[in-house]
Amino acid sequence: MADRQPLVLGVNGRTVRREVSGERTLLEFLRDDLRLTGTNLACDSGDCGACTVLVDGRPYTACLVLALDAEGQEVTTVEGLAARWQSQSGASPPALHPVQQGFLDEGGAQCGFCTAGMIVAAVGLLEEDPDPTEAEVRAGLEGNLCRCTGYVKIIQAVLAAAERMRVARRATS
Amino acid sequence: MSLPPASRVSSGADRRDGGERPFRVIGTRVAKLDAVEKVTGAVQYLPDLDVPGMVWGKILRTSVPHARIKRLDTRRAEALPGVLGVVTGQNVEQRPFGYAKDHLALKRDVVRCIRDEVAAVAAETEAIAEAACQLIDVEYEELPAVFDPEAARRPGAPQIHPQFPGNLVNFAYAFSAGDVERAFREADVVVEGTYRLPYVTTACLGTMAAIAQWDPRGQLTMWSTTQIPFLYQRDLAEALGISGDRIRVLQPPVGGNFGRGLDLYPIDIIAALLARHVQRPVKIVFDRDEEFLASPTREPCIFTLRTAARADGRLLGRDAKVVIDNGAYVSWGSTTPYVMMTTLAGFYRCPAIRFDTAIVYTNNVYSGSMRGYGNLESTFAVEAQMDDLAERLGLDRLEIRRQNANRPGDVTPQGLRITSCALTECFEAAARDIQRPVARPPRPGWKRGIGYAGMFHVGGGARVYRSDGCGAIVKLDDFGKVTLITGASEIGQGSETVLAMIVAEELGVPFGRVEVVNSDTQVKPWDVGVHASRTTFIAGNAALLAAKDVRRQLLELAAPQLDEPVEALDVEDGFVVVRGSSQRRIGYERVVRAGHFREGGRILIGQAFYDPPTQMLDKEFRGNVSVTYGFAAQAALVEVEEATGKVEVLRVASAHDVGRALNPVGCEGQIEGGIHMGLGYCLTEELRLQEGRVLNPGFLDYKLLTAPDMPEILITLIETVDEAGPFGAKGLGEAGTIPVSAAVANAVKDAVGVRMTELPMTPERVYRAVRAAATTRKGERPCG
Amino acid sequence: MRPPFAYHRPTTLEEACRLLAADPRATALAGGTDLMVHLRQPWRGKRPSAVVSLRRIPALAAIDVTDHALRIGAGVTLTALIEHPVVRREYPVLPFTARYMGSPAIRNLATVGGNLCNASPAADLSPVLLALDAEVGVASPHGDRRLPLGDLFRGPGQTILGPGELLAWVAIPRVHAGWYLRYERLDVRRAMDIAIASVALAFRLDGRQVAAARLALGAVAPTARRVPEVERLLVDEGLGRASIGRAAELAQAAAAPIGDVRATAQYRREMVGVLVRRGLEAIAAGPARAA
Repeated sequence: MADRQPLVLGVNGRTVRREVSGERTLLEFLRDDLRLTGTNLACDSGDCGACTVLVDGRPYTACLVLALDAEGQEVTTVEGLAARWQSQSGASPPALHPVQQGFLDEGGAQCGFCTAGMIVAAVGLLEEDPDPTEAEVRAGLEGNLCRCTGYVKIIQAVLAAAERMRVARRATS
Repeated sequence: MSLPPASRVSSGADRRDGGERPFRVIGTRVAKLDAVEKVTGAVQYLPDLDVPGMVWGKILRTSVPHARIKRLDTRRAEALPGVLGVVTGQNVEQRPFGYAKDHLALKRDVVRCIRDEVAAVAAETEAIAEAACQLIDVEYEELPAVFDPEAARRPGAPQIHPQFPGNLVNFAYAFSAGDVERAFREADVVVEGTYRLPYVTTACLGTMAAIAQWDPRGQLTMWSTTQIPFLYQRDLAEALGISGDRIRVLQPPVGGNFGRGLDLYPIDIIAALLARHVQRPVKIVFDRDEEFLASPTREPCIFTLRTAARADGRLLGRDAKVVIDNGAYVSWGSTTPYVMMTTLAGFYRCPAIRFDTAIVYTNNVYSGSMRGYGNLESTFAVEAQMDDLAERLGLDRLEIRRQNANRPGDVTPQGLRITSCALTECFEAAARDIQRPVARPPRPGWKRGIGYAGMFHVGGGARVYRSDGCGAIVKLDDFGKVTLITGASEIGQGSETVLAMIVAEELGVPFGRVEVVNSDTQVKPWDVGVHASRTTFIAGNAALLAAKDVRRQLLELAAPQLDEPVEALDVEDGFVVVRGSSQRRIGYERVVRAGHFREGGRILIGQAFYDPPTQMLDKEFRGNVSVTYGFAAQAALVEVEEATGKVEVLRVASAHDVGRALNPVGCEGQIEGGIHMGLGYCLTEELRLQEGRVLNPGFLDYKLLTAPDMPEILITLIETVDEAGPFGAKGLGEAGTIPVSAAVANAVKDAVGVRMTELPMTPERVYRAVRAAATTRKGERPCG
Repeated sequence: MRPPFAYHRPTTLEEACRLLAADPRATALAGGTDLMVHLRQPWRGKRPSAVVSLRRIPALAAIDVTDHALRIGAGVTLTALIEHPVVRREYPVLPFTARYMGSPAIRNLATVGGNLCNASPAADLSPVLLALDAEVGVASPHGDRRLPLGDLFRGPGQTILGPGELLAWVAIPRVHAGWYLRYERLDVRRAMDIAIASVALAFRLDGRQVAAARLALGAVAPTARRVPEVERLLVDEGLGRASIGRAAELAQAAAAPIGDVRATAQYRREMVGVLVRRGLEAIAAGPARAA
């Protein structure tokens, strides 16, 4: 293993300081160094989206990002979504993110292995475009593979969440 | 914008059997029991687990498909800092495993397919284990290999296993009924076809994994992605040469299975061997390439079928021969003819049947069980020929199906007894939904077509092993909490949720009051495993019986407390109530506490083992393997672009005879996911092998359909309320997948007039077929 | 896992070139959507001693608009390209093409320069930028230089960049009225798919005349390539049925496809004809500047 270098970044709203070697991916760092195992490793090649996290609010496939390349950035994983929503909307704990709630209400998760990445990708999409059409939701999730659901209830969940988020935004504005 | 309800449920029966009161839990839309863990990332899959002292295992596989291992030197690997030990076929004790006992986990002398495991390393980190594998020196003497089943059968072909000369797997699936020769002689029309079905793979998002831990007493604990924990326990014990009572199997939440976990595989044995060798717990997790390479596939086959019929459309006979590329070892893929046969012999009424197979060893990768288990292939052939018959006879495609459809009370030529059956109604519903208006007209250059296909599959268990049973224990504690301990495994499909619903309904408690324990063979009662869409039916009946037992005990305990006879009591919302005066009631927790915390007290536990009244097929493949059967019909609307061969599916209408939709969200989810898998099979998925090597071991070139690829799906759930199923339910897990390919192929035929006989229907294949048909038509004209 | 390597994070292009020149076994990392995949494929033999991350070099991430040209930094992500107002307005074929590539998450990482320097024969930006008459700038310890994009590619997976050299930018001329830009792509899935064959077209029409024609093929040759014989034919003969048919035939002849797990060579060649015909007919038919 190569020499380690210091890394400082934000993860789910907290500052994290570690030393990592050059080849460590952001995904490995999150899962193995920080024990945030909610984000799953499914292909390690960016082909499936299961490892999607937000970096400065944008979805990235964490398996393709070197941990050291995320220096100084704010990473949000599935574990941080509820708090993210709570700070954005004023909702109180233990409120889930509307996308998470949508998945519960519509049955968007079966085996659940794609779910974390799928939900994060959907959050990224809705933060960018709060009023997507069904086609736009599908396109927004085109990089997230699911083997269990056929995507039907996932799309329903995201559309339901979008509505809930729009309502909440109108209420707080 | 909210989407319309996902399915229409048509049945007359809202009331529970006996007509007492509407269901409180059954039929409602609930969140899966584990949904909160999954959406928050709290769920711990096997790769997320650490066991104290754990080290990492990595498997070294052969670099050539068929070879003698001339030399294997592990010294450089063992010397690498951080390596604890290396196992090979030479330094561990192992026994043959697998259905035909033709397989050793670590290969000793010969490797027979590109998957073959020659060594495994245990090291402090995954990276070190991987690096150590690269330091193992292996010298192979390549042997002549054969990669095609037809070539493998010819005299002079390389022999894969010396004990099986001729490369024929020693299973005979030959069935005949009626007078096939006469049927074909007397037929007004005979259609024939040969269909080539490919390798596909389960492609679960969560890869195969195992953790093995030996304790100082020589007991082995396995964390596994298996879906047959008790059979696994027995088979693993045999492979390791220990007694089964020394093995405990734990099943953490798994990232999909779809049949992958239906056998014991080298990863399991190797993890145990490594752990024993280095005396530390060992964890092995397949990476994605390895998953594509080494997890079991669906069996590729060449299915030749002839169907004979009368001019009025009545089927007279079928004659089928299936050649299966078995690959290098026998796993469950080799037994799929068992199910191919059931459809060939029993789907649609057909009196004369001949079915035969040749299951051939090759140096390709071997197949396991995958959702649908042979029925996709069989249905593809049968339904192609129903359309071909209709065309030849000038009959309507739906009418010929209605005419030959199975009906309640039928007994198939094998002796399968059809009880509830709404096949005809399924076709009606699918046909109706496929005709609903489509938002946009066909694009220029694209032609539209509609195709139909139905399916027939076991729906009330499947006696493919000697036992088809499942045990259940229900306990009601003095907090009024209900716990179901079930032998059935949860593989992501929601089985524990529907079982909790059944228990909640029977015991009159809210759904959220039921917990399910199902992941430890030391605790849960025996179940043969998750397969054949059996869990809702079999495990459901077991859970229901156990719950009935507890209900009886509860009422007996409550009767003196309410000073009423048992017959006057009922359960409602967590209370024992007096019928007709429901203010007189006691909460369960009070009943149980009163019965428990006293002299001579008792606790409330009920148990049941449900093993259905069915028979394994005998030597002539006759018997009734399932209590009841599931039926479905699908219609596909496609658009085909002749210039490129691209096929797009716009809509799939899927109608299912489910008995009763206990968990509508779950039913829809299984159908929707099943359709995704079936569409992949017929359009984009293929594990490509060349000279025994996998060319596309990744999600880039093994193409699962993405969200934008999926069509509109319209589901109808038809409730025939089967008398044998728990609250009338039948199995459903595989039904969405089975007919899709046939419906799409029939739709392509409708659209552009070509009969696709090979899957997947890639644009290139469709393009070639369209061109060939155009050339043929041109050739038939007198002048150009 | 990837093999171990050291990590550098320069903030200027000069520093990046210096680091690469000093260590011939070091490699540059932009978005990582190709390199990070290759690094976990041992059969490729990529074991760099160090990775020089280009992600924090502001000069590489800039899109500069002048009267003559649009200059896109090699480190501009596909998402940034899609979102840039001048790109959207004047070169809608670029966001259109970029949306075929990967997924939203991949596009947030992947860069224009990375796509070009990976030099996959099936890269989507290559034929489109060729058709837009792109020029590239190379930062080099031997002196920066500029060259036509076509000269960048040496073969499948290979560019002419030497040790210590980096692609700095790609520039395309400003497009004025009368230009029609299209990208025709054949694939199997709606997303996350590599082109089986592709054609990029940039045509300037003057009434019914073809004043300028640029046509490039992708995924059907070792590198993306323009087809000058087709371009000349269409300038000479215009966009009639006969010339379109002849153009499709010439394009097919100019293709040099291989067969692989995605398609046979023969199919690719035939689809070139289909895509060329389709693109030319669309341009002949009307005013849409891109699909």
